[in-house]
Amino acid sequence: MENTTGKYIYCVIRKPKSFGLGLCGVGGGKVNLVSSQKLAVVASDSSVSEDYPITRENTVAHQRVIEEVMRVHSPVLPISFGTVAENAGILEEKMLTVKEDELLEALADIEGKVELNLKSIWLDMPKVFQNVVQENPEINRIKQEMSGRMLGRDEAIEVGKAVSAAVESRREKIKGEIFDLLKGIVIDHKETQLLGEQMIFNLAFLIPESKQKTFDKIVRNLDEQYAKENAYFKYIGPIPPFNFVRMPISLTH
Amino acid sequence: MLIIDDLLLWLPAKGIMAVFKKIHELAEAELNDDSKLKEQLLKFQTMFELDQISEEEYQKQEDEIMARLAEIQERKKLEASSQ
Repeated sequence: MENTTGKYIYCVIRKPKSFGLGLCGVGGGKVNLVSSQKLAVVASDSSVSEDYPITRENTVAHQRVIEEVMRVHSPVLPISFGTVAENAGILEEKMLTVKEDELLEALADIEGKVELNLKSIWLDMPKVFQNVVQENPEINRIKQEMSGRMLGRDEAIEVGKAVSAAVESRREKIKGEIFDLLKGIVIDHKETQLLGEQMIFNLAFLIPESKQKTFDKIVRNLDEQYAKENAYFKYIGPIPPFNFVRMPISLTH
Repeated sequence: MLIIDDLLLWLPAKGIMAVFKKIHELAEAELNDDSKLKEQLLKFQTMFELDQISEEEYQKQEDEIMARLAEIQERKKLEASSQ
């Protein structure tokens, strides 16, 4: 069923005087605005029956539109990937007009603040296991006791549990140190899902825009500071404040 | 896919946040269906973002996962239509 009156939506902003962004959205539709008196939704035309798979191409397109808008029309309230309204009228009446106060309040709340993402992984997992075993007297003791013979199933489980607890506390320790380094800069933070044991942390930070240079400087030094840990840090931002505006988190995060 | 119209019509005006929360729950319900595959996809995306796999490798993995997800969708459709 072909139906192109639908609107794929990206974010809500205060109604701008002009919006000259010639962007292409998810699925290739041209990005445009649906406005009320004070607010606007950034959208692109879409068939209502269209399904948008969570491919990187699609999710990156979604995020890129919000980031481009953010650069010129900050603050933005980002909307989750894959959200489609039946038509422009519904967005204007049911969302922008009816919820005007809440939306304006949420915009004021996020104004002058930016979201940054910091992820870290261990590059050499066997080395991490070696280190935690060496540093952990309890695991060392078990290892000594059991040396020279095969481990039983229960014993293997016990050792496994002890090692994974030690790895976890190493993660917590590093995270704690990072929080200490960033003390006084961060307004809020969220921990996002870890995927795989290699990951040390996946953190979203909300900071005042004015503190971004300070944040950059601290974060750029991490590789050097944690050289022994053989960890890799990746810092992205500013990104749309998905984690701090009370709206759904994008499916890709 | 999420359609905002349905949500806005179902819900009493408890504030926009409730609407967005609902969308998120729906999104999660959708996610849970094929959750294993989608989690894998997320993991590959993260590994690509962390510069641990190349773009080609990521794309290859994504193509495979998307193909498998499409198969599941197809099967669900068949099951639904045969009932």
